[in-house]
Amino acid sequence: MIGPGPLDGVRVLDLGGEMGGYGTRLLGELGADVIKIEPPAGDRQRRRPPLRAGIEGPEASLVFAYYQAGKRGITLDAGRDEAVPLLTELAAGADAVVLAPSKRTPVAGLDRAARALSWASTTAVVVCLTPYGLDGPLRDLRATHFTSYAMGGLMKRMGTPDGEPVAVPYQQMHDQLAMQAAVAVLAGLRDRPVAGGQFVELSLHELLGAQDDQLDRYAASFEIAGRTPARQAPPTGVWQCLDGEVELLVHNPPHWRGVVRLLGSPPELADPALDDRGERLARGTEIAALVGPRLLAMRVDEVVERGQKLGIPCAAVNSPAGFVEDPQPRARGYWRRAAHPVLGTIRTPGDPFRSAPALLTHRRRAPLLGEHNTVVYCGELGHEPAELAAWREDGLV
Amino acid sequence: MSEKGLAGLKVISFGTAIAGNVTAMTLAELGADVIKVEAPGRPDPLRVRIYPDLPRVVEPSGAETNIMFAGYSRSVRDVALDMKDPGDLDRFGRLLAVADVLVDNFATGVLDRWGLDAGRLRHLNPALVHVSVSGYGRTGPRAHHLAYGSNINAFLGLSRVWAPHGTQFDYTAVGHALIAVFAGLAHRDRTGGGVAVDLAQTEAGGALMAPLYLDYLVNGGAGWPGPNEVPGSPLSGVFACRGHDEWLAVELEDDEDWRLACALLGEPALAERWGEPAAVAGLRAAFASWCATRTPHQAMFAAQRAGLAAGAVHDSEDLYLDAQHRSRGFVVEVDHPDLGPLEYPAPIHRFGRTDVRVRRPSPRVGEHTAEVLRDWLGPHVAP
Repeated sequence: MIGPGPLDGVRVLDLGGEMGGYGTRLLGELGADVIKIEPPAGDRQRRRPPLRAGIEGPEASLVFAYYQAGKRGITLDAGRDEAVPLLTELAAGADAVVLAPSKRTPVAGLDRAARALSWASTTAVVVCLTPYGLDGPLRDLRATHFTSYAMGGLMKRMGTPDGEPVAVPYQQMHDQLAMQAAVAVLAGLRDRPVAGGQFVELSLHELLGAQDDQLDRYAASFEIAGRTPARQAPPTGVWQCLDGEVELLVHNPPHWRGVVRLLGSPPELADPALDDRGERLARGTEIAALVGPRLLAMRVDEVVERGQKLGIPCAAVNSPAGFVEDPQPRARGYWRRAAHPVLGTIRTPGDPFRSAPALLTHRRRAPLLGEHNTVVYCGELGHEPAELAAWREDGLV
Repeated sequence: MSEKGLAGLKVISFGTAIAGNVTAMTLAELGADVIKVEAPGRPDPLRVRIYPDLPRVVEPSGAETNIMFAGYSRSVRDVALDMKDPGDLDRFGRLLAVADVLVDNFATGVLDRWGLDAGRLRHLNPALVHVSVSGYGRTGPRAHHLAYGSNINAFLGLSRVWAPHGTQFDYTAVGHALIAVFAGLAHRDRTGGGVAVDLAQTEAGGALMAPLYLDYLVNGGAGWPGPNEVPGSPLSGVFACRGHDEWLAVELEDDEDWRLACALLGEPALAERWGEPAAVAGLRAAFASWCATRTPHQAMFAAQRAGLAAGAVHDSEDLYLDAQHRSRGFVVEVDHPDLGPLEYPAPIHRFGRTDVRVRRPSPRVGEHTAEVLRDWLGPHVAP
């Protein structure tokens, strides 16, 4: 028996698609009734790899199954004017609406200039996600996670100096925007007694522009960070060990002294001047020649266990599978097993945070395409099955 | 929901580095009354200058300050408390008793050493929302392991698959911490009780990188995309443009995009060969030679006009000059008493009604100790 969550009684309409999915998933796991509205042919994410091996069709994507858990799902072509009466009925009971309009997935009733959604309730928190913003000269640029990451300034700093810039894989920045959408819903609901319903805008370009002090750093010193690795003083960096790689971060004198002890306090590293990061930077080649062979003779686990006891921030450089098999997330019961009627039992990452008492609860699997059309349109909004059939015929639902 | 809205919310932050400071700053810019507690003899490590081309600036408290700290800890007030001093520990207890939220990202065990274990915190404030951020979580064999951002990147498998970076997992922690704060407050409003949140940056990071693990977790596969390869896309990548280290990023999402690209690049023979490896190589070569004679922005605008998703690969100078950022008022000037006026990114949440803005420049150590004790505890309480 799953008890009510902190958002019990809150209803959220999710038109956030692939971009907003993570945030509305968390709202669902906090207890909100989240209704995901997909185009009749299904969300683009339903085709996103990795797929369940041996399965095809709109339920095959493991990515969709992960990101859209915790929600009910209905279909509606929300870009058509004919959708507005149904959206109005759905919105009558909704406390929040999350939308991510684009040229290919427009949302009827959105007034970009006025920042208003015609069919939303006046007491609803409406959160609108876009790649670049609802106004400004780049407002209509078409974007994906990949091209947004390029435009946001972070990509040019990632990769090797003589190679090409490399984007963070998958959709992490969309998920970060989606989380901020959830923050906007939660903060907006908290402020509702004072502010009432309101429209909130979030632009991915701005989320990226606010990270890693890119703007302020340039404003302060006109410095352009390139792919040259930050001038790191050894032994900060990645080192080869007997059975893999380890990353050490050595920022302050205690970290450095820990490394010296880890390596058996060789007399060559006893010089107290080496406590200073600038000194280590100047004598980088010398230090690397002393540190490298000693770490090469140790195992990764040994470096991490002993290094951590000595106060050095360090970690194994894992493969993705290495993280899955690591004892820490396993000991904490991080990995979730959930049943799905098409995919069978699937294992996914679990709650991103835990609490006492529990705030997040896995409440339901991701919806099948159109799974809740009948219960929502007929059961809750009171339409006749014949009407639903006609909308289906017309391609509206 | 609360009658007080956001403005009445009292938050105590022990948050340091990026994850802790940005969480506190965001709450303050959303309207909460946020105090940053710093030890007078051991100020936030982020205050120590890391950019050698900028001058070392010492504020009147004797601590350093710099643009990185200034950008990550705006809008909060600063209270100096030496938690090893019984008088200050008592002051902290009285502040905590009237607070709504406590945020920390200490190493595991620090709060316990001050006598502030979960039971004591609950005793001081039964309705407290405590969000505790760490690298690996407060339980399990790595509970005591230290981690900075790039350690987390390495641990999660991303240094192998992508690049040895890490601050994205600080922002990942920030987003989840903010959700935990507001969810905790909603829980408190419903039940009257507090909540203690254990937020491991590795677990929050793993949740956002789920697609990296799903094939292994479900299919037993161990494949992941190559550099700049977008799963599901018929073609994605960066192409060198005119100039030095200038690039265009392009992603084709489907067969319609493929045909648009063939038309743009004058390759009609490839238009119906979507998915064939030789055709992909051919279209890549066509993109490469087409981009080579264009600037990134020429290429981006032309590709966009043809209907494609394309973006110039920007650097920080491009961002500083970005017409989009400037036209939307995203760059704001903040006058700092020790650093002077400087430009910073504005808060990203654009609420129609709730007043979201930069409240004040980043504080000096202990700048608001007396003021906060008076505001929170009343004028009769001696500082």
